[in-house]
Amino acid sequence: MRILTVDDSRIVRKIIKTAIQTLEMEQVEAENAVEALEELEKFDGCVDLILLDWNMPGMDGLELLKIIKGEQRYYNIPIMMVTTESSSENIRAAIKAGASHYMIKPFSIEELIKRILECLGRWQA
Amino acid sequence: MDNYFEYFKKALLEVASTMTGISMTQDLQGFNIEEKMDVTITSTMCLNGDKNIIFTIEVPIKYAVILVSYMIGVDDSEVSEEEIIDGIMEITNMVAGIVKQKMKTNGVDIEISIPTAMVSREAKFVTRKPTEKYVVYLGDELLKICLGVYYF
Repeated sequence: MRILTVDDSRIVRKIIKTAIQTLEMEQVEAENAVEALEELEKFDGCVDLILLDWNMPGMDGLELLKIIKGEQRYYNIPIMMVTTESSSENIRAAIKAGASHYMIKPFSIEELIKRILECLGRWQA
Repeated sequence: MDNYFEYFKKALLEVASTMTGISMTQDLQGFNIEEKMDVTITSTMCLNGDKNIIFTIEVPIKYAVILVSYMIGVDDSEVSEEEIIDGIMEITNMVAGIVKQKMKTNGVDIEISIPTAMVSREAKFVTRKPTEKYVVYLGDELLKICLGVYYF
C-alpha cells in the first residue's frame, strides 16, 4: 500500500514515515501542495491514503483537499487531515470538503498507526 | 497582566510528552535569567487577534538533539541539524495550536503565525512589555526547555 504524506515539517514527515514503515507500507512525501499534486500525477492516482497537513506555505491543506476531491481520478482516495487546527468549524469544513478522517497534533506513533489502519479499513480493536 | 501562561505551560507539557514519550517533571522551576545556556535553538511564534502574544521555546542544542531523537525514534547521532531545528519549530507549532483552541474555547479569537527559529549562543529575547519565563525539566535526563511568553 502507498501513502502520500503532505506536510511542510520534515520532522512530521519523518515521524509519519516511521509509522508507515512499521506497517510495511510505502510512503511518498510532499512538503507542499504543488509537490503533492506532482506525486499524485506521477503515480497516476495509485495512492491508498493521503495524510494532509492544514497549515502550509502557499496553498493550504483545505484548498488542496478540495482540488483533489474535485478530480474524478483522485476522488476515491481517502484523506486524513493531520493538523494542529482543532476547532469544530475546521473539522466540519474538512469533512464537508471530503476528508474521511481528522487527526489533531500532537499524536503518538501508536495512535497514528491505529488511525492509518482505520482509514484503510484494517483496524481491529 | 493577562494570565495565559498556564495555557502555554500545559500545552508544552502535553506536546513534549506525547511526541517524545518522556515523562514530565510537573514541578516547573523558575527561570534563572543569569544562567548561561549553551548554543540554543530559539523558536518563536506570534498570536494575534483579541490578544497579542509572542512566545518562545528555547532549547540548548544538546537537549534538542535528544528531544528530536525521541520524536522520530532514532539514535541521537542520526539526527541532522535541519531535523533538530525543524523538530523544535514543530513543538512550537503544536503548542500554539493547543493554546489557540483553548483561548477560542474561552472566547478569545486569535490567529497564529508560522514558527521561526534561530540558533545562537546566549541570545536574549528582550521586550518592553511584561514577560513570563519558566524552565520545564523533562524526565530523568533533565532535558531542559525554556518557555517564554511576552504580551504586547
